[in-house]
Amino acid sequence: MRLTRRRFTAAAAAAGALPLIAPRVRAQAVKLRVSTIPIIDTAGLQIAMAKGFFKEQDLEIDTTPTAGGAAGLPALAAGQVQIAFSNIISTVLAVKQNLGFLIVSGGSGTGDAPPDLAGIVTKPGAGLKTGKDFEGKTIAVNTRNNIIWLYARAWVKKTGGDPDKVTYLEVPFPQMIDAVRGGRVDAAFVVEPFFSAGQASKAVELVAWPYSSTQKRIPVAQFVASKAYIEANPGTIEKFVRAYNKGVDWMNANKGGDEWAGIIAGYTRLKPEQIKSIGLPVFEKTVDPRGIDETVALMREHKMLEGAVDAKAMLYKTAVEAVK
Amino acid sequence: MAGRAAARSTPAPPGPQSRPGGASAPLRRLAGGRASGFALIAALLALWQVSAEHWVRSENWPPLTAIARAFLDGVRSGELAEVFGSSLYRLAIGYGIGAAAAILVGLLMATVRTVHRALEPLVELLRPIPVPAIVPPLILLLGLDDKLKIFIVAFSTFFPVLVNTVQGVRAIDPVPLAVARTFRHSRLRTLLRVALPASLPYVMAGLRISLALALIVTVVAEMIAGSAGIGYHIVTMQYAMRAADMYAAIFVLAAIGYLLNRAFLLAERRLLHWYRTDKTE
Repeated sequence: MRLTRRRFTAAAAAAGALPLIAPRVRAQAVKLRVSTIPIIDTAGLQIAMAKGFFKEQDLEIDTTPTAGGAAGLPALAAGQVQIAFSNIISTVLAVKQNLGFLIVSGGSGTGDAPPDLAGIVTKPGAGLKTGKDFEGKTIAVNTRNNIIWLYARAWVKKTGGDPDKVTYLEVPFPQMIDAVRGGRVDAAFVVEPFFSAGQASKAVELVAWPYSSTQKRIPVAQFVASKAYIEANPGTIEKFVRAYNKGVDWMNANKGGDEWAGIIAGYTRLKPEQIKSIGLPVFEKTVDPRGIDETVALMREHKMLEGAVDAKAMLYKTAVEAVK
Repeated sequence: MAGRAAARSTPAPPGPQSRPGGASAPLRRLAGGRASGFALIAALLALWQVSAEHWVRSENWPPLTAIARAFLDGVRSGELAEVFGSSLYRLAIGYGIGAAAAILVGLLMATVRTVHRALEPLVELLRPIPVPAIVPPLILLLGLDDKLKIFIVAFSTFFPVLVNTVQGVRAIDPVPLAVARTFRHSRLRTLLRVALPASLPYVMAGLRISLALALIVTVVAEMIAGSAGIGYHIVTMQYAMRAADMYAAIFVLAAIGYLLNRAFLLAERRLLHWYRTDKTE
């Protein structure tokens, strides 16, 4: 309804303005549909939209947010969207299936040291400190066979435990703190904003930072497009990435400010005061193939994947060198 | 099976429909004579409030007062109206298409044997499929927008109405059909003037089952692949840690489900005044 009305208004306005602009030839804005997830990780895109950076490039962005992002890559494969925000695990698995996807720009990642944007928490005083302690215990993860699950296993192994002796129970992020508090799981690998809120409420305590204790600068999520679209529209992709990068630059310069918090509150619906208190991912413009290699190695170690993956071949040139 | 069972149980034998009148009769009519039912709801809500204030400590269990505040904010800002408007719009279109197609196909299946033979196995195969299971291929075929959701609603609406329509036509008293034949009515005329009205109680039962189902499926579809509507709103608010806003939407959803059912029963009573009024409602 909202879209329809907006489209109608736009059409009506265009019809009204037609006689005025008809004599002039105007560059037609290219429309791009982008599948996103309404989480803090996509802030660069949303800022570039809010600040008009795409408009400067004669691009019109229409986002299709899906909570959880499960629809992103299927929609990309079906050509329903031209660009999708996708986590690295799903992207690698899709590439392995020869779906013809390329990463066109960086997205969100982790840094070199804690704090990360996610951590393992238990009840206060549970006494579970290492992977060894977690053998025979249960850790809540959002989805099995995805990034949280993989790094939970990697952390268990790294800290002396057998990852196969730990039970990983699927619990949606919003319910993880309750699951720990109610004793339904022993621990949860939980992301922001639930991570900060849980710690603030003293219901849980931090045990570990599985991300940065197993791998520095994990390439968590990126923007992906299909090879076919990129080959047919290299200029459009370049414009998209240029505008997106400008959004990332703006964000890094204005992090923590009121305007920044306002834009993020607008699409995540988080309360602005909450946004200022949560841990943030690192917003990347490009992707380091070595980071993908490390993640792929972990995926193979934990039997998510067989055979080699050429990380460099997954990256389109706009993801290798920042578009200015 | 559920559709069939419900169809059998809903058109119950006609019973006396007298209710004690009195001074408060209009008021009582308004509440549908369910004072004790509403008292139970009030008690549960009171329990909710007390538990949220004293027993349950969780961000996901806000007190009713916070939910009421979120509701008022949502009404004032127009957000709730927009969210529900967009869902009800898709619901109405999907339901309309699904119901119309089901009645048409149902009449054909019940009266033309070859149609029945051709379609029955397919119907019985498709009927038990839960819609979320077929969403990925549907995204491939229909995209992510209204088309997808309207199809899902129409698909879910279709089967209960279809099955009930077939049952309804089969259950028609053979005498009126024989009379129509005696008067040499055409097949089409018999279908529209005799078979359809006579099977209407069954069709309406199917429509009512589908209405509840359609509302649920609309919300589920928006949760899976949505960017608007009630389902998307509920998930977004959950992930934004705004449980009060989420519950406000859920309460409105419950109220709308209730009102849709009441409105349907009213319409049914008008349409089927000749049949009977369901005692239990």
